[in-house]
Amino acid sequence: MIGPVRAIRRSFHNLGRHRARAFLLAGGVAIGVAMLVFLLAFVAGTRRALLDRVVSSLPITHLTVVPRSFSLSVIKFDSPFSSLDPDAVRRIEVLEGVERVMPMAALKLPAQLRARFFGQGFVTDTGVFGIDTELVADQIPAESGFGTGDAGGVIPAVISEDLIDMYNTGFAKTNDLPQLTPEILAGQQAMLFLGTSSFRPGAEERVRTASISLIGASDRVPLVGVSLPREIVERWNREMAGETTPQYFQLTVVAARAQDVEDVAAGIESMGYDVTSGREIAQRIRTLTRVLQAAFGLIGLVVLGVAGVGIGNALLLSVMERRHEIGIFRSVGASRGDIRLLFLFEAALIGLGGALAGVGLAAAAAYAADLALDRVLPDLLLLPESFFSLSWPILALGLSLGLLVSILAAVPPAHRAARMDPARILTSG
Amino acid sequence: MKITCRNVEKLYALDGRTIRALAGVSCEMRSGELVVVMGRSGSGKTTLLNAVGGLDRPTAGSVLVDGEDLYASGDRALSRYRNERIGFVFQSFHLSHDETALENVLVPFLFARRPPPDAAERGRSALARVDLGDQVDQPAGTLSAGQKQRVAIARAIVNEPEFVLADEPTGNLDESTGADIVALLVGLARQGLGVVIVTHDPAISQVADRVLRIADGRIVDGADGAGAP
Ligand SMILES: Nc1ncnc2c1ncn2[C@@H]1O[C@H](COP(=O)(O)OP(=O)(O)O)[C@@H](O)[C@H]1O
Ligand SMILES: [Mg+2]
Repeated sequence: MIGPVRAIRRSFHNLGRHRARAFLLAGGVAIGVAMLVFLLAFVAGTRRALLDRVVSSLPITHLTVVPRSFSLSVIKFDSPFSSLDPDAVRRIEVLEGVERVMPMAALKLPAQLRARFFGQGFVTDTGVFGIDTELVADQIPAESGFGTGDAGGVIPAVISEDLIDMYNTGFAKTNDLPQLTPEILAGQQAMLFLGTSSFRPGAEERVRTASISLIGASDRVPLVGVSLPREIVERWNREMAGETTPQYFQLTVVAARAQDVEDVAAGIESMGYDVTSGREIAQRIRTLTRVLQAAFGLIGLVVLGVAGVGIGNALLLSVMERRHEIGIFRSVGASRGDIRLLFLFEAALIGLGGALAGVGLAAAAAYAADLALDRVLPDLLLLPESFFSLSWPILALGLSLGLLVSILAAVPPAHRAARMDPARILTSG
Repeated sequence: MKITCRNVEKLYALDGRTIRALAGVSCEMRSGELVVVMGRSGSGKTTLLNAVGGLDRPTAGSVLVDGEDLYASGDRALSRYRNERIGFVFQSFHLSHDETALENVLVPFLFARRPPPDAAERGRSALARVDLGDQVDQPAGTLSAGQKQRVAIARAIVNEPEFVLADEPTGNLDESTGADIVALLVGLARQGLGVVIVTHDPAISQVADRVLRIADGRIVDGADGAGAP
């Protein structure tokens, strides 16, 4: 009886004697495992990036609420029965499970932004939005003054990260301007001209100006414009547009707990509003990536299966080649079980080596792919640092599948070897 | 140790015909005795040797080892019997050519129930017993035919078996080399082992304690009185 220790030692010895074949077989396993791990890690990494992105712009406890819109072919109407005003905010605030409601207001006047960047004058029409400081509290440092509405005597303003991305990949590239980052922008001063635009210049005497200071970027604020503390925009709407009751174009509702989100969403929907929840989007991403993972996993499995068939055939050939050795082993006391064990251990070692190499290969390929993508893709703030997530479960899956496929592939050859008749092998020349 | 064959029969199916390799063989072999089995090619010598060595299960009849039916037990026990009590030597040596003489000799310990801690030492001394003490680390493939058969004998005796079964051990050797090998086997018998040599070289029968003649699967002479026809 050979026992596992001597079987492993002998298997190592045999792999050393048939190195070329061992490398070839392990290579097959390595490629299969590498493909499987690479693809799964890619999907997992993409999912993580998407979820990070969603959770950042719309955390899973958050809901966005907008007036319900009806679309008639290409034309969309806001329902007149679902306006968002302080009364609606109050009704939502008292719903079970709602922690906070953060409205977004838009300035009811045209506005222009004038600034100097890199020594160059810069004029653009802009949207002006009012947001709750709480909305970006975790993204904008408190000492920047956004919470108090006062950034060193001027009004603090936040812009959209996506706007920076669009500027960097579009405008800056075509005009040969330097790339912007939130850090470069921080502290930049600009002038807002309220009540005028390039399409509809306002009468000089009615145009008001306000100094703003960019204090940061966020992925939760409206895209085309600057976002200021809401009280300021509401005051301007009162003073300059004669608004008596504030109208909001969107609310961000925060649920107390993630599991409250669905009930809160249902409650708000029944009030006649359209609701999007971060949880819902996250769930959709999870479902989609799970389908992708299953598909890619299947591809990897097919490759591994092919490698398995290859291993099986090669081992069968090797059993025939080594039949004299098998015969001698039997004649000096190897049982059928011993012979079977030897071939299975040999395959297991090949599988283990191949799987380890495959995991290493996948990690190297993921690293290389990240480098390549980093070079090819534009420098977007929204792009993740890595597109791959080589998590322990994926590594363990790759390793165990590589091992399992190799062992399974070795079962028929090992059985064949065990059933050989030593008397016949040893005496037929 | 005493091996007794009782009406051993072995049938082979070949191309739809049935070949009777052994047609009811009864004989006896003992430790310390050198038995030479002679007969024409195809007469059943190898089949008998394999049956005695626990390598080939007879179709009918029994092989008794010290009175116990060898084939009553399963593959495990038969393997243990081959490992601990029998050493085989074959016409075509059957060595691993890429492994050293010592590695070849140590193979039985791979399957020993309890491999001795001094296995390598035993391997070396087995090689010394066949006068290959200076070829221990030579790859078997580089040895001469005579040396290869000596390595095979060392492998057969490294486990200190009670019987050595040699199937035409000189068939692939020239006359003088063959004589050396026979001398080695005679020496083993003198040291108390049971030795069975299958051959059709009449010269070898000269050294035998007993010659067992076989024809068409039947023993025609020398069965040691244990029920020969
Ligand atoms: N595995 C086998 N299958 C079919 N026939 C066999 C087998 N082994 C031996 N035989 C036949 O059995 C007979 C005896 O063979 P064997 O014992 O090898 O004779 P010997 O060793 O005396 O030459 C021969 O006719 C041989 O062809
Ligand atoms: Mg023969």
